[in-house]
Amino acid sequence: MSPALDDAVGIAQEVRAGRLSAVAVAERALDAIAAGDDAIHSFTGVVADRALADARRVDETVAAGGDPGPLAGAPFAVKNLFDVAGEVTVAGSKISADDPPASADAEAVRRLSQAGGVLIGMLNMDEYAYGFTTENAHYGACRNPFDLTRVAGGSSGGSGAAVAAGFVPLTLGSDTNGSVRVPAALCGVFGLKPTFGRISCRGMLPFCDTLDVVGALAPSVRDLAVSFAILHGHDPADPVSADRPRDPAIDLGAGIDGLRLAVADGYFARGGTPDALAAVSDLADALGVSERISIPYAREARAAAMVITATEGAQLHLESLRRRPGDFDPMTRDRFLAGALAPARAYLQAQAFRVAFRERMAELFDTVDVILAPATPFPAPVVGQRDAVVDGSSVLTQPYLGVYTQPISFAGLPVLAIPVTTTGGLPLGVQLIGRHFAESTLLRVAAELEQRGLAGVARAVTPWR
Amino acid sequence: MDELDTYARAAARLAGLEIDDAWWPGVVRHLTVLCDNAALVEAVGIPTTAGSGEHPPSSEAGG
Repeated sequence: MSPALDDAVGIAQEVRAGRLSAVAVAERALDAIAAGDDAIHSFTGVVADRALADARRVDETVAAGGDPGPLAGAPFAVKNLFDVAGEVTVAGSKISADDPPASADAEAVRRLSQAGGVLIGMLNMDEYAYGFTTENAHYGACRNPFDLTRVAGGSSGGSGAAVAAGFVPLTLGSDTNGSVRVPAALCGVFGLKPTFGRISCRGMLPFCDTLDVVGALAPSVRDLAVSFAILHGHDPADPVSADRPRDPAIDLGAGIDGLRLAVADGYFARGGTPDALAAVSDLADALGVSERISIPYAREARAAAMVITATEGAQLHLESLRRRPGDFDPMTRDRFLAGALAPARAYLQAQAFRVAFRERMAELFDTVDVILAPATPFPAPVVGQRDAVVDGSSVLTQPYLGVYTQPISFAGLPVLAIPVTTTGGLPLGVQLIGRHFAESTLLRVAAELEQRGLAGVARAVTPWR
Repeated sequence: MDELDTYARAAARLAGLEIDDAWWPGVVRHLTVLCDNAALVEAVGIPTTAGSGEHPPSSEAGG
């Protein structure tokens, strides 16, 4: 495909103009997955019949002079915790694989399909979203397209790998503690974790109700902007959906003049490899950003996020922990069991802390519009790698991947992870953090960085492209 | 650790969980980290001023 067809918006433009067949695009995606995904394991299932039927409808609409929508014919795929009508929502687990098929699409899937997007399939993930590496005992480890010996990140690992491999230009993931931003960073693609409550979670199997957010991963900022415009908005059927007006259309060419940017220091300026920290400082230097800002209580916020995640996650799966503990992935079982045993006071204190922390974070944005911080402390680890050395100390690789993402999502703030390439050739990410409901500002900054060549997708070398 | 193990076994009974002997070391290790994290949060109380900025114990993350 030509460079113009590397992203969802480029494909949709060609399809809407009648220069490209949506069926041909869907067939190409299905062929690429069949040829290349055995080595990556990003997909856990494809819906070829549905994809071709949806694509045919898009082509028929164009032929009849109609407009199928802003994603006309663009292939997309979703983390396998989103309901897809007629498919079992396995959520990376053996236990949920015994559930009946979903009767309807999740709201996010429905909205993308209604906008002309063509659903291709479901994507690999950590069991019940509890992890940062997608080394799934049931469905296989999802490999990083840049280096197949390395992980794709998690828990939306399939969502990052499928975009990086060029199988589909748009995927959905979920982000509770960093599960969109970590795979986006390690796979070298853009990832948007919106404000908590901004996109309906209806039809998405929850991990932690008070932290879960639907996010998108894509090879371009305009793909994130278009998908966000489609996805966001109040859903009365989702109890945590934010009841506020939709954003007006986003002007990605508005530039960054007048915006106050700062680099997170303290907690966010240590504990990572030189490459990971340099990714932020290099970007700041290129933009002439010298302001530094301290994010207070980041350490405690991450600690509280862990308590809430473990406790709520265990409560959601308590019945399965009672009846079928041996069917859990060993990577998640012990942590869920520990969460089930945690005292209630720990959870309540963590939630009380969270309310105050969210207020302190909101106050930070009185003096700044966007904060830059690393997305992960190091590039993609090798599959099975237990430990890593950072600042001369050994850390557990898997949980430590969330060290910079967890404090931010804990405050419910929107974050856009942008891809940068390191001297070592592996992708890394930088978080652009904004005030609550300021997704438009983040998209505007990311577009400027992309336009200047300071951020962007470096395609993995894949034989099927 | 003995006290935590005793607590964990009592809590498991209360929750109706039957935990395989082979899993207990891992469960207690993760519970220890959770308790350490809870203690960090307890110690800081309700935040009104700048925090400590260090990294917390880390084996419970995910998602």
